[in-house]
Amino acid sequence: MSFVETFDAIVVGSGMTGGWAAKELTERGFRTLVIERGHKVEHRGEDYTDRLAPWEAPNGGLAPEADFTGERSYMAGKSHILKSTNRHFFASNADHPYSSNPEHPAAWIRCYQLGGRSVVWGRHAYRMSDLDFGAPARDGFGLDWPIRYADLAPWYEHVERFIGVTGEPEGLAQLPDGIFQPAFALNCAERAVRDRVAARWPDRRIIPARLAHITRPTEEQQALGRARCQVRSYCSRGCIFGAYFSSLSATLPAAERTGRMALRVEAVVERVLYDATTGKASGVRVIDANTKEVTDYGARVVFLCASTIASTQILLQSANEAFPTGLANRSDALGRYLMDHVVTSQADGLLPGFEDSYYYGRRPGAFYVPRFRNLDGDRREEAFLRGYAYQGSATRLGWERGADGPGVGVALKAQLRRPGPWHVNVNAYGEMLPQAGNRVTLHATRRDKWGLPLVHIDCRPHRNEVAMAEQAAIDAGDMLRAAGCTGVTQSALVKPFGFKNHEMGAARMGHDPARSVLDAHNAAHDVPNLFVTDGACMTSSGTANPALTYMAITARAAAFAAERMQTGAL
Amino acid sequence: MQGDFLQSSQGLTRREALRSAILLVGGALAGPIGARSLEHGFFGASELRMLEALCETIMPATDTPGAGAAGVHLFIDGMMQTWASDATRAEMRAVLSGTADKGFMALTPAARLALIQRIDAHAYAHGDTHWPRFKKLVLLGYYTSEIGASQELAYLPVPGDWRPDERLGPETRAWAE
Repeated sequence: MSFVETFDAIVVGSGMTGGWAAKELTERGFRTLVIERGHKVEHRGEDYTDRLAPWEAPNGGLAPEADFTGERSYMAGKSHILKSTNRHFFASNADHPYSSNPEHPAAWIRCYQLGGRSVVWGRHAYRMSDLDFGAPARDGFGLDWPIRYADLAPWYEHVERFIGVTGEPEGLAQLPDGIFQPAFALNCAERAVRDRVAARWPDRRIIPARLAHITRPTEEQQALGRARCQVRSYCSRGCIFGAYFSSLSATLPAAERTGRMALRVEAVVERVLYDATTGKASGVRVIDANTKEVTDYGARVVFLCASTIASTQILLQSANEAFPTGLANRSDALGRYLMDHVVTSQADGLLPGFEDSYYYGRRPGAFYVPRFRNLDGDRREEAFLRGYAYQGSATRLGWERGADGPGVGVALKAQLRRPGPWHVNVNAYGEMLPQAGNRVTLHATRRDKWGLPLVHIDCRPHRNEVAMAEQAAIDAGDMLRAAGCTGVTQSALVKPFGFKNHEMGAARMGHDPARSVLDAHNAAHDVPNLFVTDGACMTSSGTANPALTYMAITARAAAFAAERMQTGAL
Repeated sequence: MQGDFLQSSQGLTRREALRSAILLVGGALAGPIGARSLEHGFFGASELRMLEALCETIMPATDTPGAGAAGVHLFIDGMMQTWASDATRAEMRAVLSGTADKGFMALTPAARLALIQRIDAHAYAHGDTHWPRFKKLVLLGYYTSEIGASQELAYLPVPGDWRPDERLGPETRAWAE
């Protein structure tokens, strides 16, 4: 087939990384086609439900129970996130089935519309450090990253300046400081927890969460129509203020205003097209999501930013004579070394006191506990390699506590008119080690409505995750007890793959083409104009929420690709 | 301070936003937009009368309207239609009929309260999960209603600021959200 149109660049996916690739490539002068499999969503348009009052949200705000067992079963255990006001952003299993190992069922959280999961993400934004990038080389487990923190630092800064990240500088080696806008300050209960924990363990810090929200808009942000966060916490409904970062509010508008961005929605990429004579990608083949009509687009460079599993799926589907097991898969690493932050141990308790204090506003995040385990990289410190960080909060219990115990009538109503006791929670994000057997493949027989093989996910935790989860629970409980909390419960938790939304690794970066898919600039070793910059590229998982790293990696790779196009090398 | 709020300048009314939300999320809704005046569809007439009285017993009128005025019984009826699983429907119906079997409707308001207090205390003391789930629905219906959220509690659509340490006065109400 011939190309219906040719571009300088094609970007597959319009989410967290697709938006960045589009912005960087178009701003550097290159005509770029963005392909999104889902439908178009207008920023501030009718898909946004952030203007609904509590009595206007369907079902009191709750997503139907059947969602969690059926149509959106990948959100089981996440009823605090999936609501009646945002469920339309989450893909239906009936329309988009996938397969996983029944002994280790996987949760694949997909948001198939323009903007992808950047519309509903948790907005925590932390830099990785050389504790992370240097870990495989130091402890010998897994493959060495082909980059270090110094390679990404200018790009973290580039991304943070554009998106807006709140925070306070802390000077921690394991959690590098960024370019920050004013943070949402800790409340008095959180400061007490912080101080009491620090008194007991000086190396355990509790800091304001670093969040992709605007608190002091820059000129650039204002020019994009983004405003200061209004502290409503309706983020995952879509925000008319554009105050939190999403593709819809920031990167796609920036790309569009260059005049060099083309957008094709409701188009499923079947494969990357490969020219065996040049050894390069020549474009992509798409299937219209509605009509199933097939179209080929040509490009000088192709960026896969469809998210870890989807980009990997495309590469597997793109197998050809030269690459029988998947495009750019000479190493056999494609699809392997899947990771997620499956260690999610947590602790809860009530903090006595501070009855006279109450906060104003619904801040979008609370606090973060940077990793304090195995900081020297000496594995003998603990029973496990690597480590974990925590997110946490102290909030006053609301009316929901009325169903936790006996009480009815006037007495109950009077009690619930006032805020309840302070409740403290910390929940872990633990690094997962890469394993060759943890992988995504294409199902041998089952197909989706476009005739493409279903994704099959087979990913299970190993000994390191279990040992880590135990200690993370103990540390969490210890911190709350040291803070003076009562009724502390702690749980060692290892969740199914995908539950934490941080799936990564199936097309890892590395120096050696025999052991990795991508080089130090995210180009496939064997296909120099094919870039993969979403979570698939991650060689190790670290503990940080990964989106900021994905965005920095994407901006860096796009700048590199642009430079190569400018010199004519690509 | 409580009571301050910012009006959105965007011009989209709640009516328009709700219409969009209905189309998007597919929730079944009948009757005038913005009001809890659903045609009942799950519970029978006598069940609904019982449910209304039961909700009012749990969340009575005080210096603010109670669950009856807030239409919580109709909210729960709607939840059975558009939210609940089959198991939950059966569970809630059983809670209602179990309460009815104890002669709830024939009692005076004071006696009704005493009965519900006994049922409530017994449930939590014996690890029953059905009654707490039912009570949670009543609270959800009340505190997400316009009466519950904005008259009984403090409702603030657009706070605008984060202030971590405000003083809680003797009259300060809990935030609705």
